[in-house]
Amino acid sequence: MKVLFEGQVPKDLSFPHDNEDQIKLMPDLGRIALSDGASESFDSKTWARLLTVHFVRQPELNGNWLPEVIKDYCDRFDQAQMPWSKQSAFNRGSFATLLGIEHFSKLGTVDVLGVGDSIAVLLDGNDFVDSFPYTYAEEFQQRPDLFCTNEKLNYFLTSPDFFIQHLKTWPIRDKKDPVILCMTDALAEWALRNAQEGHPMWQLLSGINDVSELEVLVLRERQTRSMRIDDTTLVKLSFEMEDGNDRNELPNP
Amino acid sequence: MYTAEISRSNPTALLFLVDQSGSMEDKMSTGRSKAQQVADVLNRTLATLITRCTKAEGTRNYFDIGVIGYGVNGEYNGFKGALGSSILHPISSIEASPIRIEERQKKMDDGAGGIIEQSIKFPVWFEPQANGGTPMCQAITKAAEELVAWCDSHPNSYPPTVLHITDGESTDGDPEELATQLRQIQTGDGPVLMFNLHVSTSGEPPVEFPASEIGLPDAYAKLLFRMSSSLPDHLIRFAQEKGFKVGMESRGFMFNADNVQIVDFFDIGTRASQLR
Repeated sequence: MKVLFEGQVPKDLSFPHDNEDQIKLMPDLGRIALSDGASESFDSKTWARLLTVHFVRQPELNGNWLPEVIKDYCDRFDQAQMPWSKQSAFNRGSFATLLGIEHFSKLGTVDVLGVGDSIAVLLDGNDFVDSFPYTYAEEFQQRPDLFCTNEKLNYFLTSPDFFIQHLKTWPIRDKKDPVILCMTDALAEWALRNAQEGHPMWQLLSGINDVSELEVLVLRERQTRSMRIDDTTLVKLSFEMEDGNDRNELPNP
Repeated sequence: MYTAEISRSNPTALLFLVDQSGSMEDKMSTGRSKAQQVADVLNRTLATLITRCTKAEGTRNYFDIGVIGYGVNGEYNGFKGALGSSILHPISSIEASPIRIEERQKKMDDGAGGIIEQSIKFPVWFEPQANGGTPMCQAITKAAEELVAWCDSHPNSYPPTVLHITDGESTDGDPEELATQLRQIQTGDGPVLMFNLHVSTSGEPPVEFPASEIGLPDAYAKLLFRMSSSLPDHLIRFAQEKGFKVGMESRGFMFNADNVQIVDFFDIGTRASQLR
């Protein structure tokens, strides 16, 4: 797996440090994670970062996985020292999506774990193959399951169909030119809506090689109200084929 | 309309108009007076809004909030102390200035089939009061004065929401025209939203977010219906998620509301668009 591009545009360019999207990349292990921290949260930036860090370290979501991330989060705060408003916000919790990608090169497959409304799109060259966990722009209207630091609100994790709902395996061995685009909700909704309306943007998104290009696109679409104002992240991945060549690798300058 | 995202540079305003006339002393099904019930829900709503706006680094000013009470002394600022100097305040100022913080007991599931009581902090900004007549026209006029100024200084913001809680008919004239004028005040994102809640101890079935005057029990209910704004799309969706049967024509109005409806009305009415 190779990371060909990663870029972010914060919702407010004056406050780039308030960006609550987090990315953790470990392409050598075939793992990357993306998390979008919810605005209405006590510290979703930290929560999103911990989710991504724990995923790339341990991508199998066994019974201890989330409690360990929650413990890691809670250990960073001293509730006793907080005023009532911070205690209340802390108890309410921090919320975030998790999009985790794991490449199994020997099997020629990619596992996509998708909790919330950050999505992965599989392309073959510039042609759309599939997207997960959402396929249609209308799905962004729903209230997604999000991982929360308040353990009681993660009940969906114990559902018997959790992995049916939230995990998908994409075979990529049969693809000529497999590319995965990972993106957070504002960009994802915009891309799926354009595709539905007959104006696919996959080639445009796949061709972005510089953060300034992403910024120009996002700011233009925000200005015309075509794209929601939100922290925006795009990651582009390519995959080595059996012959050892990565067909999407950027040419040397 | 009603699509502006709420941010620190473009906050929105929430203005509560609370009837504090003598009849608010009547007891509800909970055994508490309407005035006490409304004050508790209002205080809890303020605490919830503050919680939604509070991050690890502090409370972000997504909302300007005010309370106008009306009763024996006409209309007046519902806040006291440090917040008594003006009607609307950024939410961080409200967070910093409760009158007091009470310790209350909350019944909770103990996770093993039992109920336990847990002590929680309950900040109080607004005190119950029930005295005198119902000068509704004065209160709406004051709200309009405040919101004209607010909209002038926030042209790009999601428009203000007025939540009006009353239990009786106006004693200082017909409020319908004033309410119409209030709903004509606007930002670039749309006109002011006015939602009306009629609190009752009658035991009659509540009417929730009606879509027409037809079927409302009397002229007073019909008047409050006409004074109410239609629910914008995102509030229709939110109300539907809470199990209400609402559609495109539904208005932000509840009649004969008891305890449960008061809580729902405040919850839905304060769900202004997405915070960012």
